Amino acid sequence: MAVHQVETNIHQKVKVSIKQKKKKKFNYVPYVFLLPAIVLLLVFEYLPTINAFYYSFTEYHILSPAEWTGLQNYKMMMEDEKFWIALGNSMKYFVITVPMLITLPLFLAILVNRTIKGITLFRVIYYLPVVTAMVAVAIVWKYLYHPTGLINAALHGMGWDHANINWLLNKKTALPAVSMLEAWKAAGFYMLIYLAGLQTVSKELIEAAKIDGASKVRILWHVYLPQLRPVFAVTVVMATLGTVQMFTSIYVMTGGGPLDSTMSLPLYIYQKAFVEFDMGYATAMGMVLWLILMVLTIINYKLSRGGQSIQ
Amino acid sequence: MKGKKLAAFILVFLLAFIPLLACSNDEKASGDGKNGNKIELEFWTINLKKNFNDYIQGMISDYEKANPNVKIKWVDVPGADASKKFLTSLQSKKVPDVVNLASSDISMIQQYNVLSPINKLVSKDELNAYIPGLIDSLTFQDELQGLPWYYGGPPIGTINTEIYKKAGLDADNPPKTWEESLKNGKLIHEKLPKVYGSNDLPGIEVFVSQGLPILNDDHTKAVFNSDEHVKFVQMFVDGYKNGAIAPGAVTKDDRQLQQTYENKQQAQAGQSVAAALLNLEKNAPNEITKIKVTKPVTGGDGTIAVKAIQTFVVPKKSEHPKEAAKFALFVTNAKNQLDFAKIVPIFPSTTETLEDPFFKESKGKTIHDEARKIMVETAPHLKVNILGIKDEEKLRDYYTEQIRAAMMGELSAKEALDKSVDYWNQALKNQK
Repeated sequence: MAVHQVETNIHQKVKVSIKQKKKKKFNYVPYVFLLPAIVLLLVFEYLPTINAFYYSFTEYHILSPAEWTGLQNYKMMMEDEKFWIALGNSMKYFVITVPMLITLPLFLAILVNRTIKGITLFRVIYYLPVVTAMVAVAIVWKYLYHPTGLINAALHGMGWDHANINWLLNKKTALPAVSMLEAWKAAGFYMLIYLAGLQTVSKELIEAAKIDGASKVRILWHVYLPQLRPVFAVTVVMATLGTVQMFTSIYVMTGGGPLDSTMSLPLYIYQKAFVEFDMGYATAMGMVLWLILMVLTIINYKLSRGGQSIQ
Repeated sequence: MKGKKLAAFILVFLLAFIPLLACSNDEKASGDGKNGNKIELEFWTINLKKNFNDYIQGMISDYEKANPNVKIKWVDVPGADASKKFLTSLQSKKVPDVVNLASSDISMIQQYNVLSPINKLVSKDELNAYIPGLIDSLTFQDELQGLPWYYGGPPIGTINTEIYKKAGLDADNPPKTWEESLKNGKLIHEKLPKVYGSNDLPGIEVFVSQGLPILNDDHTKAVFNSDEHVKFVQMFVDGYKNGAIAPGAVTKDDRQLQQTYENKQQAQAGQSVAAALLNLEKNAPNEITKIKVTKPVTGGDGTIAVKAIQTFVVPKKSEHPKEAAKFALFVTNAKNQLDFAKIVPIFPSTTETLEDPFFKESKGKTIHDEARKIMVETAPHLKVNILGIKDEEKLRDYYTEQIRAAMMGELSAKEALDKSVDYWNQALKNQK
């Protein structure tokens, strides 16, 4: 009884002291330390975004003051054939590149997850393209895709004598060719994410599956993949954001050609903003791109069930 | 303890706001040139520092010596970014004073009314030093928007003599018309399947040299879809199919052509800038020895049109427009342009420079001398094709894109020209 009394007293005292503390002191220290990041984000991210939202309703050519035109830019976008071509191409990049970025790096990660001699070297080799500048890589790939370049030479070597494909100047092959480069360059990055994921997979589960007589494929399918669900959530979202915003490789390799067949929405926005200086229209398209990315991200996240792994 | 806390707070605040200080405007005004205060003129050039640092720096030193109250701050900007950087700078309070811009950029920028009319800053006599045609092409509504500087000059023709010989053609009898050029190209590709004729496309300037009109007389309508225009473009479309024109000629960035003299896949160029020889000399010293410079391929009357020249503009926001214009006059004077022409095959904008024996009595020792000689011969037939219409660059790009579509078989020559003319007319209607 006495013990119970003491416990209640202590409990009440603690409660009172917490309340007093709460009343007395507001802990501002964390906010102060957050301040530099908040200020920078506000100035360089959110304010320009809000500004861009405003400019998307104006006719603005940098040198003359912005004039409010309401929904005119958005209306123009609906009638702009090139906008739809660029949007369609961005979706094609998404459809071609994202599956490659989700599957190929996974297999690479499984390969480099083995404990064999010199595995670090392989990891470095696969990762090297990630740290190489896109402009440099794109120029090299331009030579690979040249009609008399290495790719056609390899096809000739394999007996395809008529291989004289002008990869970057053919409307059918230019877009997949650029997508291949993007997938090749980013594969190492996603491999590393998968590798980190693979190394957190519970060893007990794998042991149990082996004892139960599961084959390697079944272990991959039923043990590894469900446990990698959070990693998939990350890779899918990142790959989506990356591919829909593809710009540098296209700018360097094709400039959006031939005949706009590789023109992505970001490249078209760039052309409108910094070649034609039609900032109002460019920001309106930027808003649409932002909206598309938000929707795709939410869908991806929902499909991967919020990145929760299945235990 | 309190002191430590205070110090921590100050540090955090500094961390948060110091980066933002960089966003402030640099409002440090330059002096007025009186009482020992020096006037500072910011001088922009496009991509010249790497190869011509000594020449530009020498000019600046000479000017500063002769004008002790002026200090020149030289800024060299990358070629592709020049107009973007200039427009962005106009948003700030500190603008450059003398800016090198291509005339094609002027046609885009002049609609914003941000350039000082040069003819109000310098005397008429001073402007008489320049080739009248160039001054006229840069004058919009009686206002001279820029002072003409150098340009690539009239185009030259080039042929690879080795390829010509292998194909059984006579390099001493180069093609004079587009018909002849395309015929030779076809023959070369037939005999040497890995080699193509040229990278020539029927750009809008080619119409001018062919004597075919682009706009009607009062510049209110595009007229380049007549039967003659279609026939002319069709000739190139056929050439693209039969190898007279290289497959890579339709590439969007003409600095990244696929079939070139460097890789031995190009036999000739109907119209090329003389400065391209410098790159060839640097990149393929063995190949340049096979190149012969010829008169440019053109139409019947020999007229030649160039798209753009280099100019100097003075922004209205400049604090010292008069001094800026004076410096621009100095940089573009006959002597300085002659010195420049001696180190690089450019063409000057001043008549006096062209009278110099360097241009008049070229002995033709090197391929560059040969090129210069041909350019001087062609100069009387030269036109600078500035149409002076709003969004000119955008309209030209649209035209070129339709030509590419025709070459690649996506549109017929007639469809491509009709589509371009409709687009141009729509834009011209909105300019009224």
